[in-house]
Amino acid sequence: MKRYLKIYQRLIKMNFAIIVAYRMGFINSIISTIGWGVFQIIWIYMLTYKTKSVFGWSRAELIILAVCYVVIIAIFHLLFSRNFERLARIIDRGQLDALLLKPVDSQFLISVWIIRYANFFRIAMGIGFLAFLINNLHITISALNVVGFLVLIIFGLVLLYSLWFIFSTFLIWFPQLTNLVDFLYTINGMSRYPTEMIKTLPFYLLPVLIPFTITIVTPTKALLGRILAGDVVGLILITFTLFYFSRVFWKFALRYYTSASS
Amino acid sequence: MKYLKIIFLHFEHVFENRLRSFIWFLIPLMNNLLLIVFWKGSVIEGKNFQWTMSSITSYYFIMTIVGSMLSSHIEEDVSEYDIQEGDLVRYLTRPFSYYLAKFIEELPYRLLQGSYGIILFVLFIVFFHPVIALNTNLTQLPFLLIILAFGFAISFTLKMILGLTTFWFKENGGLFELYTILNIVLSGGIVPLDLAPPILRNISYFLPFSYTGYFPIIAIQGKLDTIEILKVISIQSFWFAGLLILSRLIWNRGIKIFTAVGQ
Repeated sequence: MKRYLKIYQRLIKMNFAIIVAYRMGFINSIISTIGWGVFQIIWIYMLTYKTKSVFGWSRAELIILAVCYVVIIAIFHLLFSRNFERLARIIDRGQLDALLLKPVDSQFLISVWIIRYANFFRIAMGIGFLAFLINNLHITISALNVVGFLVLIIFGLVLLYSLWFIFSTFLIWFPQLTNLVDFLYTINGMSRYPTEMIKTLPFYLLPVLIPFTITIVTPTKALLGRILAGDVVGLILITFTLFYFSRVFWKFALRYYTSASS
Repeated sequence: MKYLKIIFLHFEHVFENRLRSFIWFLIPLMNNLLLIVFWKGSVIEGKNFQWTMSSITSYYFIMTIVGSMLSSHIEEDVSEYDIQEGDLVRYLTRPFSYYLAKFIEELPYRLLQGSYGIILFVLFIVFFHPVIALNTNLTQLPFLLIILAFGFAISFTLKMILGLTTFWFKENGGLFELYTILNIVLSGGIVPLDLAPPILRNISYFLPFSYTGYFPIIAIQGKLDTIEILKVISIQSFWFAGLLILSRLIWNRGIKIFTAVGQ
Protein backbone atom coordinates (compact mmCIF):
# COMPACT_ATOMS: atom_id res chain seq x y z
CA MET A 1 0.00 0.00 0.00
CA LYS A 2 2.81 2.39 0.95
CA ARG A 3 4.54 1.66 -2.34
CA TYR A 4 1.39 2.52 -4.28
CA LEU A 5 0.99 5.78 -2.39
CA LYS A 6 4.58 6.66 -3.28
CA ILE A 7 3.95 5.88 -6.93
CA TYR A 8 0.82 8.03 -6.87
CA GLN A 9 2.76 10.87 -5.30
CA ARG A 10 5.27 10.62 -8.17
CA LEU A 11 2.44 10.64 -10.70
CA ILE A 12 0.99 13.80 -9.14
CA LYS A 13 4.38 15.51 -9.54
CA MET A 14 4.86 14.17 -13.08
CA ASN A 15 1.45 15.45 -14.17
CA PHE A 16 2.18 18.83 -12.63
CA ALA A 17 5.47 18.99 -14.56
CA ILE A 18 3.48 18.40 -17.77
CA ILE A 19 1.21 21.40 -17.22
CA VAL A 20 4.23 23.58 -16.48
CA ALA A 21 5.90 22.39 -19.69
CA TYR A 22 2.79 22.75 -21.89
CA ARG A 23 1.17 25.89 -20.51
CA MET A 24 -0.90 26.67 -23.60
CA GLY A 25 -2.40 23.17 -23.52
CA PHE A 26 -3.31 23.71 -19.88
CA ILE A 27 -5.02 27.03 -20.63
CA ASN A 28 -6.95 25.26 -23.41
CA SER A 29 -8.06 22.57 -20.96
CA ILE A 30 -9.22 25.22 -18.48
CA ILE A 31 -11.29 26.93 -21.20
CA SER A 32 -12.95 23.67 -22.24
CA THR A 33 -13.55 22.35 -18.72
CA ILE A 34 -15.14 25.62 -17.55
CA GLY A 35 -17.08 25.78 -20.81
CA TRP A 36 -18.63 22.34 -20.21
CA GLY A 37 -19.36 23.25 -16.59
CA VAL A 38 -21.24 26.38 -17.66
CA PHE A 39 -22.97 24.36 -20.38
CA GLN A 40 -24.49 21.99 -17.81
CA ILE A 41 -26.02 24.94 -15.98
CA ILE A 42 -27.33 26.56 -19.19
CA TRP A 43 -28.63 23.14 -20.27
CA ILE A 44 -30.83 22.64 -17.20
CA TYR A 45 -31.83 26.33 -17.17
CA MET A 46 -33.12 26.08 -20.77
CA LEU A 47 -34.71 22.69 -20.27
CA THR A 48 -36.66 23.80 -17.23
CA TYR A 49 -37.39 27.34 -18.46
CA LYS A 50 -41.07 26.54 -18.98
CA THR A 51 -41.47 23.76 -16.43
CA LYS A 52 -42.59 23.82 -12.81
CA SER A 53 -41.50 20.29 -11.91
CA VAL A 54 -40.24 17.09 -13.50
CA PHE A 55 -40.92 13.65 -12.01
CA GLY A 56 -41.52 15.23 -8.58
CA TRP A 57 -38.36 17.37 -8.65
CA SER A 58 -38.88 21.14 -8.55
CA ARG A 59 -36.99 23.43 -10.93
CA ALA A 60 -34.66 24.59 -8.13
CA GLU A 61 -33.87 20.99 -7.12
CA LEU A 62 -33.13 20.06 -10.73
CA ILE A 63 -30.72 22.97 -11.04
CA ILE A 64 -28.99 21.86 -7.81
CA LEU A 65 -28.79 18.31 -9.23
CA ALA A 66 -27.13 19.69 -12.37
CA VAL A 67 -24.62 21.69 -10.32
CA CYS A 68 -23.81 18.62 -8.16
CA TYR A 69 -23.28 16.80 -11.46
CA VAL A 70 -20.80 19.51 -12.50
CA VAL A 71 -18.82 19.09 -9.26
CA ILE A 72 -18.84 15.28 -9.03
CA ILE A 73 -18.10 14.70 -12.72
CA ALA A 74 -15.28 17.26 -12.52
CA ILE A 75 -13.70 15.23 -9.69
CA PHE A 76 -14.10 12.10 -11.84
CA HIS A 77 -12.48 13.84 -14.83
CA LEU A 78 -9.70 15.14 -12.60
CA LEU A 79 -8.78 11.66 -11.38
CA PHE A 80 -9.89 9.08 -13.93
CA SER A 81 -11.60 9.81 -17.25
CA ARG A 82 -8.53 10.72 -19.33
CA ASN A 83 -6.97 7.41 -18.25
CA PHE A 84 -9.75 5.53 -20.01
CA GLU A 85 -9.10 7.51 -23.20
CA ARG A 86 -5.47 6.46 -22.83
CA LEU A 87 -6.46 2.83 -22.27
CA ALA A 88 -8.48 2.83 -25.52
CA ARG A 89 -5.47 4.23 -27.36
CA ILE A 90 -2.87 1.86 -25.92
CA ILE A 91 -4.98 -1.22 -26.56
CA ASP A 92 -5.67 -0.11 -30.14
CA ARG A 93 -1.94 0.43 -30.75
CA GLY A 94 -0.88 -2.78 -29.02
CA GLN A 95 1.06 -0.94 -26.31
CA LEU A 96 -0.59 -2.63 -23.36
CA ASP A 97 2.24 -5.21 -23.14
CA ALA A 98 4.67 -2.63 -21.83
CA LEU A 99 2.25 -1.79 -19.07
CA LEU A 100 1.50 -5.40 -18.16
CA LEU A 101 5.21 -6.15 -17.80
CA LYS A 102 5.72 -3.54 -15.09
CA PRO A 103 5.94 -4.85 -11.48
CA VAL A 104 2.85 -2.85 -10.47
CA ASP A 105 -0.84 -3.78 -10.54
CA SER A 106 -2.05 -3.18 -14.11
CA GLN A 107 -5.48 -1.87 -13.10
CA PHE A 108 -3.83 0.70 -10.83
CA LEU A 109 -1.43 1.89 -13.53
CA ILE A 110 -4.19 2.12 -16.13
CA SER A 111 -6.55 4.03 -13.86
CA VAL A 112 -4.40 6.75 -12.31
CA TRP A 113 -1.62 7.62 -14.77
CA ILE A 114 -3.13 10.94 -15.92
CA ILE A 115 -4.45 13.68 -13.65
CA ARG A 116 -6.34 16.55 -15.29
CA TYR A 117 -5.57 19.52 -13.06
CA ALA A 118 -7.70 21.87 -15.15
CA ASN A 119 -10.77 20.30 -13.55
CA PHE A 120 -9.92 22.03 -10.26
CA PHE A 121 -11.32 25.15 -11.90
CA ARG A 122 -14.61 23.41 -12.74
CA ILE A 123 -14.86 22.03 -9.20
CA ALA A 124 -14.28 25.50 -7.72
CA MET A 125 -16.84 27.03 -10.10
CA GLY A 126 -19.39 24.33 -9.24
CA ILE A 127 -18.93 24.66 -5.48
CA GLY A 128 -19.21 28.45 -5.73
CA PHE A 129 -22.40 28.21 -7.75
CA LEU A 130 -23.84 25.58 -5.42
CA ALA A 131 -23.24 27.83 -2.39
CA PHE A 132 -24.80 30.76 -4.26
CA LEU A 133 -27.90 28.71 -5.15
CA ILE A 134 -28.38 27.31 -1.65
CA ASN A 135 -28.06 30.81 -0.20
CA ASN A 136 -30.35 32.48 -2.76
CA LEU A 137 -33.04 29.81 -2.74
CA HIS A 138 -33.03 29.79 1.09
CA ILE A 139 -32.56 26.01 1.25
CA THR A 140 -31.82 24.84 4.78
CA ILE A 141 -28.93 22.40 4.89
CA SER A 142 -27.62 20.84 8.10
CA ALA A 143 -24.04 19.77 8.82
CA LEU A 144 -25.24 16.16 8.69
CA ASN A 145 -26.56 16.74 5.14
CA VAL A 146 -23.15 18.03 4.07
CA VAL A 147 -21.28 15.12 5.69
CA GLY A 148 -23.69 12.64 4.05
CA PHE A 149 -23.20 14.41 0.71
CA LEU A 150 -19.40 14.21 0.94
CA VAL A 151 -19.32 10.55 2.02
CA LEU A 152 -21.77 9.50 -0.71
CA ILE A 153 -19.74 11.41 -3.32
CA ILE A 154 -16.85 9.03 -2.56
CA PHE A 155 -19.10 6.01 -3.14
CA GLY A 156 -20.54 7.65 -6.26
CA LEU A 157 -17.06 8.21 -7.67
CA VAL A 158 -15.95 4.62 -6.98
CA LEU A 159 -19.13 3.36 -8.62
CA LEU A 160 -18.61 5.57 -11.66
CA TYR A 161 -15.01 4.42 -11.89
CA SER A 162 -16.08 0.75 -11.72
CA LEU A 163 -18.68 1.23 -14.44
CA TRP A 164 -16.21 2.95 -16.75
CA PHE A 165 -13.63 0.25 -16.08
CA ILE A 166 -16.06 -2.58 -16.83
CA PHE A 167 -17.16 -0.99 -20.11
CA SER A 168 -13.60 -0.12 -21.12
CA THR A 169 -12.49 -3.71 -20.49
CA PHE A 170 -14.54 -4.69 -23.56
CA LEU A 171 -11.85 -2.90 -25.59
CA ILE A 172 -9.67 -5.98 -25.09
CA TRP A 173 -12.04 -7.82 -27.44
CA PHE A 174 -12.97 -4.82 -29.64
CA PRO A 175 -9.77 -2.72 -29.79
CA GLN A 176 -10.98 -0.59 -32.70
CA LEU A 177 -13.92 0.77 -30.73
CA THR A 178 -11.87 3.63 -29.32
CA ASN A 179 -14.99 5.83 -29.36
CA LEU A 180 -16.50 3.61 -26.66
CA VAL A 181 -15.06 6.13 -24.20
CA ASP A 182 -16.96 8.94 -25.94
CA PHE A 183 -20.06 6.82 -25.52
CA LEU A 184 -19.31 6.53 -21.79
CA TYR A 185 -19.16 10.32 -21.54
CA THR A 186 -22.70 10.30 -22.99
CA ILE A 187 -24.02 7.64 -20.62
CA ASN A 188 -22.53 9.67 -17.77
CA GLY A 189 -24.94 12.40 -18.81
CA MET A 190 -27.79 10.22 -17.54
CA SER A 191 -26.80 11.03 -14.01
CA ARG A 192 -28.06 14.59 -14.60
CA TYR A 193 -31.61 13.24 -14.56
CA PRO A 194 -33.72 12.16 -11.55
CA THR A 195 -33.75 8.38 -10.89
CA GLU A 196 -37.56 8.54 -11.00
CA MET A 197 -37.30 9.48 -14.68
CA ILE A 198 -34.86 6.70 -15.59
CA LYS A 199 -37.18 4.18 -13.87
CA THR A 200 -39.87 4.92 -16.49
CA LEU A 201 -37.63 3.47 -19.23
CA PRO A 202 -38.04 -0.15 -20.42
CA PHE A 203 -37.03 -2.61 -17.64
CA TYR A 204 -34.24 -4.26 -19.68
CA LEU A 205 -32.33 -0.95 -19.79
CA LEU A 206 -32.48 -0.36 -16.04
CA PRO A 207 -29.63 -2.66 -14.87
CA VAL A 208 -27.24 -0.62 -17.03
CA LEU A 209 -28.72 2.84 -16.49
CA ILE A 210 -29.67 2.90 -12.80
CA PRO A 211 -26.07 2.53 -11.49
CA PHE A 212 -25.02 5.55 -13.56
CA THR A 213 -27.92 7.64 -12.27
CA ILE A 214 -27.48 6.93 -8.57
CA THR A 215 -23.85 8.12 -8.63
CA ILE A 216 -25.03 11.74 -8.62
CA VAL A 217 -28.69 11.59 -7.54
CA THR A 218 -28.01 9.84 -4.20
CA PRO A 219 -25.43 12.37 -2.90
CA THR A 220 -27.65 15.24 -4.13
CA LYS A 221 -30.65 13.78 -2.29
CA ALA A 222 -28.48 13.62 0.86
CA LEU A 223 -27.60 17.29 0.45
CA LEU A 224 -31.25 18.27 -0.01
CA GLY A 225 -32.29 16.13 2.97
CA ARG A 226 -34.67 13.93 0.98
CA ILE A 227 -32.66 10.70 1.06
CA LEU A 228 -34.02 7.35 2.23
CA ALA A 229 -32.03 4.58 3.94
CA GLY A 230 -32.70 2.38 0.91
CA ASP A 231 -30.93 4.86 -1.39
CA VAL A 232 -27.79 4.79 0.77
CA VAL A 233 -27.73 0.99 1.15
CA GLY A 234 -28.39 0.58 -2.59
CA LEU A 235 -25.50 2.88 -3.55
CA ILE A 236 -23.05 1.22 -1.13
CA LEU A 237 -23.99 -2.33 -2.15
CA ILE A 238 -23.85 -1.64 -5.88
CA THR A 239 -20.52 0.17 -5.46
CA PHE A 240 -18.83 -2.73 -3.65
CA THR A 241 -20.28 -5.31 -6.04
CA LEU A 242 -19.30 -3.51 -9.21
CA PHE A 243 -15.86 -2.55 -7.96
CA TYR A 244 -15.14 -6.22 -7.19
CA PHE A 245 -16.61 -7.26 -10.54
CA SER A 246 -14.51 -4.69 -12.44
CA ARG A 247 -11.35 -6.28 -11.01
CA VAL A 248 -12.40 -9.86 -11.73
CA PHE A 249 -13.58 -8.93 -15.23
CA TRP A 250 -10.30 -7.16 -16.06
CA LYS A 251 -8.24 -10.19 -15.01
CA PHE A 252 -10.50 -12.45 -17.03
CA ALA A 253 -10.27 -10.17 -20.10
CA LEU A 254 -6.47 -10.09 -19.98
CA ARG A 255 -6.44 -13.78 -20.81
CA TYR A 256 -7.79 -12.81 -24.23
CA TYR A 257 -5.42 -9.94 -24.88
CA THR A 258 -3.39 -10.52 -28.00
CA SER A 259 -0.68 -7.96 -28.42
CA ALA A 260 -0.17 -6.39 -31.82
CA SER A 261 3.54 -5.95 -31.31
CA SER A 262 4.62 -9.45 -30.39
CA MET B 1 -18.16 11.16 -62.87
CA LYS B 2 -14.68 11.31 -61.29
CA TYR B 3 -16.19 12.86 -58.14
CA LEU B 4 -18.71 10.04 -57.92
CA LYS B 5 -15.89 7.49 -58.11
CA ILE B 6 -14.05 9.24 -55.29
CA ILE B 7 -17.22 9.26 -53.19
CA PHE B 8 -17.59 5.49 -53.71
CA LEU B 9 -13.96 4.95 -52.72
CA HIS B 10 -14.60 6.79 -49.47
CA PHE B 11 -17.74 4.75 -48.92
CA GLU B 12 -15.56 1.62 -48.82
CA HIS B 13 -13.42 3.23 -46.14
CA VAL B 14 -16.48 4.28 -44.11
CA PHE B 15 -17.98 0.77 -44.23
CA GLU B 16 -14.74 -0.72 -42.85
CA ASN B 17 -15.67 0.81 -39.48
CA ARG B 18 -19.43 0.26 -39.37
CA LEU B 19 -19.60 -0.47 -35.63
CA ARG B 20 -17.53 2.58 -34.73
CA SER B 21 -19.76 4.68 -36.90
CA PHE B 22 -22.84 3.19 -35.22
CA ILE B 23 -21.50 4.15 -31.78
CA TRP B 24 -21.07 7.72 -33.02
CA PHE B 25 -24.70 7.60 -34.05
CA LEU B 26 -25.81 6.19 -30.68
CA ILE B 27 -24.40 9.19 -28.79
CA PRO B 28 -26.92 11.82 -29.98
CA LEU B 29 -29.67 9.19 -30.09
CA MET B 30 -29.30 8.44 -26.37
CA ASN B 31 -29.30 12.12 -25.49
CA ASN B 32 -32.39 12.86 -27.55
CA LEU B 33 -34.37 9.87 -26.27
CA LEU B 34 -33.70 10.98 -22.70
CA LEU B 35 -34.88 14.49 -23.53
CA ILE B 36 -38.16 13.03 -24.81
CA VAL B 37 -38.62 11.11 -21.53
CA PHE B 38 -37.75 14.28 -19.58
CA TRP B 39 -40.49 16.24 -21.34
CA LYS B 40 -42.98 13.43 -20.72
CA GLY B 41 -42.58 13.90 -16.96
CA SER B 42 -42.59 17.70 -17.08
CA VAL B 43 -45.36 19.84 -15.66
CA ILE B 44 -45.35 22.86 -17.97
CA GLU B 45 -46.20 26.40 -16.90
CA GLY B 46 -49.02 27.84 -19.00
CA LYS B 47 -50.08 26.39 -22.35
CA ASN B 48 -48.15 26.35 -25.60
CA PHE B 49 -50.44 25.06 -28.32
CA GLN B 50 -47.65 25.04 -30.91
CA TRP B 51 -45.60 22.52 -28.91
CA THR B 52 -47.54 19.46 -27.80
CA MET B 53 -45.90 16.25 -26.54
CA SER B 54 -46.19 14.72 -30.02
CA SER B 55 -44.49 17.69 -31.70
CA ILE B 56 -41.72 17.68 -29.07
CA THR B 57 -41.21 13.93 -29.62
CA SER B 58 -41.08 14.52 -33.39
CA TYR B 59 -38.61 17.37 -32.87
CA TYR B 60 -36.08 15.19 -31.04
CA PHE B 61 -36.55 12.22 -33.37
CA ILE B 62 -35.97 14.38 -36.43
CA MET B 63 -33.07 16.09 -34.66
CA THR B 64 -31.33 12.72 -34.31
CA ILE B 65 -31.57 12.06 -38.05
CA VAL B 66 -30.92 15.62 -39.20
CA GLY B 67 -28.04 15.98 -36.73
CA SER B 68 -26.36 12.80 -37.98
CA MET B 69 -26.86 13.82 -41.59
CA LEU B 70 -25.98 17.50 -41.44
CA SER B 71 -23.50 17.95 -38.59
CA SER B 72 -20.04 17.74 -40.02
CA HIS B 73 -17.09 16.68 -37.84
CA ILE B 74 -14.30 17.48 -40.25
CA GLU B 75 -12.43 19.94 -38.00
CA GLU B 76 -10.32 17.37 -36.14
CA ASP B 77 -9.28 15.74 -39.41
CA VAL B 78 -8.23 19.08 -40.86
CA SER B 79 -6.49 20.15 -37.67
CA GLU B 80 -4.79 17.02 -36.39
CA TYR B 81 -4.03 14.90 -39.44
CA ASP B 82 -3.80 17.41 -42.27
CA ILE B 83 -2.19 20.48 -40.70
CA GLN B 84 -0.41 19.19 -37.58
CA GLU B 85 0.82 15.87 -39.01
CA GLY B 86 1.38 17.27 -42.49
CA ASP B 87 -1.08 15.16 -44.50
CA LEU B 88 -2.16 18.36 -46.23
CA VAL B 89 0.73 17.88 -48.67
CA ARG B 90 -1.18 15.01 -50.30
CA TYR B 91 -4.07 17.32 -51.10
CA LEU B 92 -1.95 20.12 -52.48
CA THR B 93 -0.84 18.00 -55.42
CA ARG B 94 -4.38 16.98 -56.39
CA PRO B 95 -6.23 18.62 -59.29
CA PHE B 96 -9.07 19.98 -57.15
CA SER B 97 -9.42 22.26 -54.17
CA TYR B 98 -8.82 21.15 -50.58
CA TYR B 99 -12.33 22.31 -49.63
CA LEU B 100 -13.90 20.12 -52.31
CA ALA B 101 -11.71 17.12 -51.41
CA LYS B 102 -12.75 17.29 -47.75
CA PHE B 103 -16.38 17.81 -48.75
CA ILE B 104 -16.27 14.59 -50.79
CA GLU B 105 -14.58 12.73 -47.91
CA GLU B 106 -17.24 13.85 -45.44
CA LEU B 107 -20.27 13.02 -47.59
CA PRO B 108 -20.23 9.19 -47.17
CA TYR B 109 -20.00 9.55 -43.37
CA ARG B 110 -23.06 11.76 -43.30
CA LEU B 111 -24.99 9.41 -45.60
CA LEU B 112 -24.16 6.36 -43.47
CA GLN B 113 -25.06 8.14 -40.21
CA GLY B 114 -28.25 9.47 -41.76
CA SER B 115 -29.21 6.00 -42.97
CA TYR B 116 -28.76 4.65 -39.41
CA GLY B 117 -31.13 7.39 -38.31
CA ILE B 118 -33.75 6.56 -40.90
CA ILE B 119 -33.60 2.80 -40.16
CA LEU B 120 -33.99 3.44 -36.43
CA PHE B 121 -36.78 5.93 -37.06
CA VAL B 122 -38.71 3.30 -39.05
CA LEU B 123 -38.08 0.65 -36.35
CA PHE B 124 -39.36 2.99 -33.63
CA ILE B 125 -42.50 3.77 -35.58
CA VAL B 126 -43.17 0.06 -36.23
CA PHE B 127 -42.55 -1.13 -32.66
CA PHE B 128 -43.42 1.81 -30.39
CA HIS B 129 -45.96 3.72 -32.53
CA PRO B 130 -44.93 7.22 -31.46
CA VAL B 131 -47.04 10.01 -32.94
CA ILE B 132 -44.63 11.79 -35.27
CA ALA B 133 -45.71 15.03 -36.95
CA LEU B 134 -44.16 15.44 -40.41
CA ASN B 135 -44.56 17.91 -43.24
CA THR B 136 -47.04 16.35 -45.68
CA ASN B 137 -47.12 19.26 -48.13
CA LEU B 138 -45.45 17.78 -51.22
CA THR B 139 -45.08 21.16 -52.92
CA GLN B 140 -42.62 22.12 -50.15
CA LEU B 141 -40.45 19.03 -50.71
CA PRO B 142 -37.93 20.67 -53.12
CA PHE B 143 -37.55 23.56 -50.67
CA LEU B 144 -36.96 21.13 -47.80
CA LEU B 145 -34.17 19.48 -49.78
CA ILE B 146 -32.60 22.90 -50.38
CA ILE B 147 -32.81 23.75 -46.66
CA LEU B 148 -31.12 20.45 -45.78
CA ALA B 149 -28.39 20.93 -48.40
CA PHE B 150 -27.65 24.45 -47.16
CA GLY B 151 -27.73 23.20 -43.54
CA PHE B 152 -24.99 20.70 -44.33
CA ALA B 153 -23.00 23.20 -46.40
CA ILE B 154 -23.04 25.79 -43.57
CA SER B 155 -22.13 23.21 -40.92
CA PHE B 156 -19.31 21.86 -43.08
CA THR B 157 -17.90 25.30 -43.91
CA LEU B 158 -18.01 26.39 -40.26
CA LYS B 159 -16.07 23.27 -39.26
CA MET B 160 -13.56 23.78 -42.07
CA ILE B 161 -12.91 27.33 -40.83
CA LEU B 162 -12.50 25.98 -37.31
CA GLY B 163 -10.04 23.31 -38.50
CA LEU B 164 -8.07 25.81 -40.61
CA THR B 165 -7.39 27.98 -37.55
CA THR B 166 -4.74 25.34 -36.70
CA PHE B 167 -2.47 27.15 -39.17
CA TRP B 168 -2.06 29.75 -36.40
CA PHE B 169 -3.12 28.05 -33.14
CA LYS B 170 -1.47 24.70 -32.53
CA GLU B 171 -3.47 24.10 -29.35
CA ASN B 172 -7.07 24.73 -30.32
CA GLY B 173 -8.89 21.90 -28.54
CA GLY B 174 -10.50 24.47 -26.23
CA LEU B 175 -11.79 26.41 -29.23
CA PHE B 176 -13.34 23.24 -30.71
CA GLU B 177 -15.05 22.43 -27.41
CA LEU B 178 -16.39 25.97 -27.10
CA TYR B 179 -17.77 25.73 -30.63
CA THR B 180 -19.49 22.41 -29.76
CA ILE B 181 -21.12 23.98 -26.70
CA LEU B 182 -22.28 27.07 -28.61
CA ASN B 183 -23.61 24.89 -31.41
CA ILE B 184 -25.65 22.67 -29.06
CA VAL B 185 -27.16 25.65 -27.24
CA LEU B 186 -27.83 27.90 -30.25
CA SER B 187 -28.91 25.31 -32.83
CA GLY B 188 -31.84 24.09 -30.74
CA GLY B 189 -29.95 21.04 -29.47
CA ILE B 190 -31.40 21.33 -25.96
CA VAL B 191 -34.93 22.60 -26.54
CA PRO B 192 -36.84 23.84 -29.59
CA LEU B 193 -35.82 27.52 -29.79
CA ASP B 194 -39.49 28.51 -29.53
CA LEU B 195 -39.39 27.24 -25.94
CA ALA B 196 -36.04 28.85 -25.08
CA PRO B 197 -35.65 32.12 -23.14
CA PRO B 198 -36.29 35.08 -25.53
CA ILE B 199 -32.76 36.46 -25.31
CA LEU B 200 -31.21 33.14 -26.34
CA ARG B 201 -33.82 32.71 -29.06
CA ASN B 202 -33.01 36.10 -30.58
CA ILE B 203 -29.26 35.44 -30.50
CA SER B 204 -29.86 32.02 -32.12
CA TYR B 205 -31.93 33.46 -34.96
CA PHE B 206 -29.17 35.95 -35.69
CA LEU B 207 -26.29 33.42 -35.82
CA PRO B 208 -25.77 30.60 -38.37
CA PHE B 209 -26.09 27.67 -35.91
CA SER B 210 -29.90 27.57 -35.91
CA TYR B 211 -29.89 27.31 -39.73
CA THR B 212 -27.97 24.01 -39.50
CA GLY B 213 -30.31 22.41 -36.95
CA TYR B 214 -33.44 24.10 -35.67
CA PHE B 215 -34.85 25.51 -38.93
CA PRO B 216 -34.29 22.35 -41.03
CA ILE B 217 -36.01 20.34 -38.26
CA ILE B 218 -39.09 22.53 -37.94
CA ALA B 219 -39.32 22.74 -41.74
CA ILE B 220 -39.50 18.91 -41.84
CA GLN B 221 -42.11 19.06 -39.08
CA GLY B 222 -44.23 21.34 -41.24
CA LYS B 223 -44.08 24.28 -38.84
CA LEU B 224 -43.03 26.74 -41.55
CA ASP B 225 -45.19 28.00 -44.43
CA THR B 226 -43.70 28.48 -47.91
CA ILE B 227 -42.89 32.17 -47.36
CA GLU B 228 -41.05 31.39 -44.11
CA ILE B 229 -39.17 28.55 -45.81
CA LEU B 230 -38.03 30.90 -48.58
CA LYS B 231 -36.92 33.39 -45.94
CA VAL B 232 -34.87 30.66 -44.20
CA ILE B 233 -33.31 29.63 -47.53
CA SER B 234 -32.32 33.21 -48.30
CA ILE B 235 -30.68 33.63 -44.87
CA GLN B 236 -28.94 30.26 -45.27
CA SER B 237 -27.58 31.27 -48.69
CA PHE B 238 -26.31 34.54 -47.20
CA TRP B 239 -24.49 32.69 -44.39
CA PHE B 240 -23.11 30.07 -46.76
CA ALA B 241 -21.72 32.66 -49.16
CA GLY B 242 -20.19 34.67 -46.30
CA LEU B 243 -18.60 31.62 -44.66
CA LEU B 244 -17.31 30.34 -47.99
CA ILE B 245 -15.54 33.63 -48.64
CA LEU B 246 -14.15 33.60 -45.09
CA SER B 247 -12.86 30.03 -45.43
CA ARG B 248 -11.22 30.97 -48.74
CA LEU B 249 -9.51 33.96 -47.13
CA ILE B 250 -8.30 31.88 -44.18
CA TRP B 251 -7.03 29.16 -46.52
CA ASN B 252 -5.16 31.63 -48.75
CA ARG B 253 -3.42 33.20 -45.76
CA GLY B 254 -2.87 29.98 -43.81
CA ILE B 255 -1.34 28.00 -46.66
CA LYS B 256 1.42 30.62 -46.93
CA ILE B 257 2.69 29.77 -43.44
CA PHE B 258 2.21 25.99 -43.74
CA THR B 259 5.41 23.91 -43.80
CA ALA B 260 5.79 20.13 -44.06
CA VAL B 261 8.93 18.03 -44.07
CA GLY B 262 9.28 14.53 -45.46
CA GLN B 263 11.08 12.32 -47.90
